[in-house]
Amino acid sequence: MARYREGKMKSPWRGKLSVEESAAVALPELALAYFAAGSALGEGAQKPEELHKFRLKTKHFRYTLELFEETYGPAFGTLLKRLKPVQDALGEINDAATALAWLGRDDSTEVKAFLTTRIADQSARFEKHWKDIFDKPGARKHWVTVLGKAAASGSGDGKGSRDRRLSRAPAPRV
Amino acid sequence: MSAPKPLTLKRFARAKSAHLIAKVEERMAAAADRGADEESVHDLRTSIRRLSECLRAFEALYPLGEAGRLRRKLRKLMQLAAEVRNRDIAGELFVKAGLASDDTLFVRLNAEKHEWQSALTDKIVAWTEKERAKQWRGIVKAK
Repeated sequence: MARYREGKMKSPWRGKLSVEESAAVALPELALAYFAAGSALGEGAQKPEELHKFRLKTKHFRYTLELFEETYGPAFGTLLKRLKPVQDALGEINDAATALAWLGRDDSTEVKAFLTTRIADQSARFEKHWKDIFDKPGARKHWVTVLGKAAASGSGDGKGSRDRRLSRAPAPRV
Repeated sequence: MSAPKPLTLKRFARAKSAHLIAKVEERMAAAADRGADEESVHDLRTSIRRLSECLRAFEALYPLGEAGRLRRKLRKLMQLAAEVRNRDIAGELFVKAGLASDDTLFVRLNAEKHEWQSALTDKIVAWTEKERAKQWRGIVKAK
């Protein structure tokens, strides 16, 4: 999303299209960008700043999806649920890191040790969830497929103009 | 009888923003009434985050610069709410870490939390007096 603001990439949203048409074009693109960012983190001890950035990406992605919750069917809700453990684990890491920062130079070694362990545990939890759910074969394709199928637009011609619009739009590479 | 026109994304974005702004106003009033307690701050933060995300995602669909201006103002409110929330969370973590309830760290934490709660409620009152949110709702719906 940041690339849109920097002008390097055109916004995926088309104001004149119907909500369904626009969501079906834009959300798969956003999903692919999100998957790429998550996979780029790689395995092993990630830097807290990297995890923090990815936490923000997760939030942006989830809240953007939620804007369209009523536009999709039940499969959409299942996708949203898969994001929650990611957000929870990254949130716990951030909370512990914030508390650690608040303690600063305070001589409370036991509390600091507790918080440091918590960060490590939650990082492992995040990594496992990502590997099991998001990195598994076919996961990206599933997201793109579900997000590319917003409910019928009711465009008036009985066929829906979304399919025609999608056929003109470049298909996202999965 | 012809079929109804589909809702365009632009109209959807404006309607969604208006709804989310109303929600922020409602949560601001609740937070001010309740002295920015934990639950009201959580609700306020959630409502701000939803609105900010809507403005962020559909930035290009609003009058030029308006969404960014609104988001910057929301960010200031969010920062104050985050200061309160961070201290609530730190307190919970310290309890889990086994820190005694009479530890001086809690005294310091609570004193800071009360200061931020006052700052947040003051900001909300000032905001409400200026009726900025109403002004914004007009901006977002305009055009």
